[in-house]
Amino acid sequence: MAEVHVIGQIVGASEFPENDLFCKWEAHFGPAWKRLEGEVSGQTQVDCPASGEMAYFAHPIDLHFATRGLQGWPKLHFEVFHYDWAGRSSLVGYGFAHVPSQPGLHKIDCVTWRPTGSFMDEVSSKFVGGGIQLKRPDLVYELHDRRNVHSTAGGKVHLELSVILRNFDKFGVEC
Amino acid sequence: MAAEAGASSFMLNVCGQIESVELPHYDYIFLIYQFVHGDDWERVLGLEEGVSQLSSKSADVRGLHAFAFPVEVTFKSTNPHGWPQLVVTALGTDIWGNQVVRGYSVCHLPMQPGRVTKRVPLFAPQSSSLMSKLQGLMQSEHPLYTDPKILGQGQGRQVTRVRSLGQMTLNFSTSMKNTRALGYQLLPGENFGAAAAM
Repeated sequence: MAEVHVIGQIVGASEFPENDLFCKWEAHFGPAWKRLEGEVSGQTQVDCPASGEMAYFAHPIDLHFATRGLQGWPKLHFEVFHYDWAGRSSLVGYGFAHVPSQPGLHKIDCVTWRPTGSFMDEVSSKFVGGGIQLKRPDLVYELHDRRNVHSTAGGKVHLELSVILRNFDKFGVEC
Repeated sequence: MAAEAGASSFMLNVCGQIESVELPHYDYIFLIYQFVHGDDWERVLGLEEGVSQLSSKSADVRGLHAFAFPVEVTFKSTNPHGWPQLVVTALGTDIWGNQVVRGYSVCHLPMQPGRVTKRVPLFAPQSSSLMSKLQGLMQSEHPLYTDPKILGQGQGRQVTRVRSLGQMTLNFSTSMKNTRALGYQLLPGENFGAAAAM
């Protein structure tokens, strides 16, 4: 069986309208893949940076997969939330990134978007806080038709991931 | 050196240093580093915990704490899962002379052979409410992690609120033994195995 190790960190998030952020993440993969070790989901710390515009999470990711095929290559999906002064969270970005298929160190900037509501939704969100969310979060990372979704750009989630492959060459796969 | 045939474990050797810390708010800082790793890993050489010198901030515009604090360690493992992480605690003293945590940082040891320089953020846990913050200021008790090794894991971090307030610069030179013999491909473009064995 071929194996893949994905080890690294969700470093942080930047370019969001607010700086006090945390991130929920989840790994998704196809039926040919089996998770051997590691957590497939988690939630980072909340960072309220003293200065600068990057919120740092330093959240470890350490996943070990075994696979029988290339289809369903693992991907990581992120939901970034703003944590306000009253302790409420509101969604500020959805994003996803495929785990790189090439071994080595990768610095990945994952772009995010948030659903845009109607004019009244946006106005109320500005005054009361909170924001709209997707009913089905799998729209972010699955190959679904998105034509009815209207979105606005969010900031970026920064990842630093190292990929280690095992036995791929024995199966004649070049990465 | 030829890889050992029939090897069941590989070795990771890292030599480097914690070069400097930028924490412009604080005048006096010293560092303690520890390693966090999975159960398949065993530290064969190197300190379990390292304590640095006490540094004063430079008087110039950089406001830098320079340590050049060596980190040298060798690990043995059967599995890349649980790859070691370096957790560093930056400590100082408050106006009453009590030892206080100024920040934490966590980063993985490199997973590829070679030399790298890394800049890693430092962050300090915050009180969960305004009341506990005021109480802490008056009693000189600042929030800290009871075991900094929690930073090496993903579980349990969601309830923590932190404030990132500085950067640490480190460099590492990394070499491995037997990773190739065990079939691990750490870098792109390495082509070994069936074709190379012929």
